[in-house]
Amino acid sequence: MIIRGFGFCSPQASQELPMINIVDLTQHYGVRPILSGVNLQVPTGTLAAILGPNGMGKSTLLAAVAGVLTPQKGYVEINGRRRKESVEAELEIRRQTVYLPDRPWLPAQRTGREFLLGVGKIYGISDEPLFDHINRVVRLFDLEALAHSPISSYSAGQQKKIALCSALVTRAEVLLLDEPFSGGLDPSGILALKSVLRRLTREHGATVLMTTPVPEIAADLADQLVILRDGAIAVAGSLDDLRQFADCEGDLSEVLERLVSPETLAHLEQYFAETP
Amino acid sequence: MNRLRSWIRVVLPHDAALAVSIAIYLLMDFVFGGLRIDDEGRDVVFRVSGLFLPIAACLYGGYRVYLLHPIFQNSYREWLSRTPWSGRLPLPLGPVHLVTQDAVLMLCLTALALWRHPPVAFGFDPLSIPLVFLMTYEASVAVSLALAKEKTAAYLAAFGIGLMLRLWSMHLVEWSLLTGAAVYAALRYGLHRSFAQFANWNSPTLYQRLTGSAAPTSTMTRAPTDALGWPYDQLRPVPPHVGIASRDGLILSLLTGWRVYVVGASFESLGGQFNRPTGEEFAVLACCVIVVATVVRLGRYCAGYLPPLMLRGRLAMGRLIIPQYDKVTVASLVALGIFALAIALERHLLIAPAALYPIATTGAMLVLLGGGPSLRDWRLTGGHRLAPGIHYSEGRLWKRL
Repeated sequence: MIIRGFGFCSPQASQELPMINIVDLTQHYGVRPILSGVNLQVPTGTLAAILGPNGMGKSTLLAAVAGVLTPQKGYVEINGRRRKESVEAELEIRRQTVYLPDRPWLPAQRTGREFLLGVGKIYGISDEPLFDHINRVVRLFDLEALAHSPISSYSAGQQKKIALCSALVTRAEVLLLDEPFSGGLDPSGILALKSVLRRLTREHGATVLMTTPVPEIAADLADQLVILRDGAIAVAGSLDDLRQFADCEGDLSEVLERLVSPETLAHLEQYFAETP
Repeated sequence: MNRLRSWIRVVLPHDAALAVSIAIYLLMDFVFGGLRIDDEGRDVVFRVSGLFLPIAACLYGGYRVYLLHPIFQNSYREWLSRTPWSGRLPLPLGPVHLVTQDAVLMLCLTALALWRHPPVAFGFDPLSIPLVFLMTYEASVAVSLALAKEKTAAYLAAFGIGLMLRLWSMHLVEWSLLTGAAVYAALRYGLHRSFAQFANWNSPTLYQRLTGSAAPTSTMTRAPTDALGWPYDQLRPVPPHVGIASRDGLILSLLTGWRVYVVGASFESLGGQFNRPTGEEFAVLACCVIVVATVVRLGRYCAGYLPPLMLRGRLAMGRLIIPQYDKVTVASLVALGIFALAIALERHLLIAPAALYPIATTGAMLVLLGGGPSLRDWRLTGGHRLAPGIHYSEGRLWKRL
């Protein structure tokens, strides 16, 4: 199914209620329009990746879905409940959702384990499962030795890992991850995260909406690719859908070049042609 | 002698604090000596060191509660909770309630004031020393009771202390002391009730009580659930209980109005001594209280919850008012409007400022404390843009600074 930017898809057209439903979302920063009339549906158990050039509104779209921003127009629904419509709806959405920004602020003086315990507690997870989950997740990301040290002593990559661990210990049904693979993750961390996200969506029915500037990761992981261009969804669908739309049989990088930045190859030729 | 020392040490501050206090007093007495002030033809000897005595009494009143009440001392409280101690038994580090030793100490300070700084030289009644002690002590106990959720006694004390201050400013020190005794009776009852409920205090820290963040329920779950950084603090699924109950809002508004009256009347009495025009003290006080309360309310609502469009964006887009966000300012504007109305009423209808401004303050506080939207509703459903608040950064704040 190919979805174009101005909303070919409506909730009524869908077979079942989408877990994430973005309707006519418009967001400005001051006078600068960032998103304009964005419509998107992410079904339950789907891993959707938002791709696009820098400054096209990927993080803004995710922040609006997370409730960090109140859009000037349009709305976001999570599991059939509209964000900020009522206290009850918002609390229910928060219980089901976890948002991890690109650069979260971690409590530097707390140990990694204390931080994870605190996050688990605010999501209402009982003690025993929480302790067990924390043990497994810090082992997965190779943080066992560091878990009892203050977060201030962590490297950038380790801080990214503990932030990812915090999102996982919440056991939220919807994960909103802003560039989860950036920020200094090492290859083992990337592998672990890829595997976790894949299994969470395919085996546990979790829904993931993430941004990434790396087409290879998106192509490898995502069930649904969302291409943002000029503040609107240029195209959304599976890799095959995108290939068909772009009339290109190459990999996602090539498809992206055609869809988003066809001028890049021309600029490259110009760059070398003008080199004395 | 040793028996006397042991007896008095039950409530006496630490030796070092005591020694420093005596040294300061003697030093002030030695350095300043007696200053001669000619007041209407009479030679008056004024000893600056005399000012130290009420200050010492005031500090002692605070110390008596703050250091000996387990609600202010986390480690003490936690230790007590692991012992068989109950409210019926005496507190191991010393009593919070008043004892004979307090009376002896106050007698000593008063006697010293009478000996070294007799009323005519001292500037005010030496009986003010026990009064100052009593007011500070009772205010501190009232805070402890508010934290222990014994609010009735705490509110009674808050109103009573205002009356004490008013009587003191009218030079009715004996009546003020009598009022203090009545307030103490209410506080003693509140203390008794709060200690009887010690097992239910649930060991929250003072910070947790003041901020309303969740209290731990057992050792196993003693995970820090506050200051988890961005975005967990602001997007937490179960936000901490914030806001003020309507009953508390009403009483606090009345209390603020009462305090404006008491303090304003005290300043008025002082102004009267210097033949200055009176009445404006109430307006200034009410203005200060209302403006500060307005700023605090706006800060509480808007810190970390910014408008979707800043002023430049609003002007450029022709959206000067964004109802979803700007509703947060309505209560503040109404409160300031009440103050403006009070000024107009005073000028045009010549209503007595002593009645008008305390009432205006009460009205403004009612609006500020009880006016919608509630903080919880605002944070969950307001049309704002979340920004990591500096109060959530913990650690990062210092790096940023």
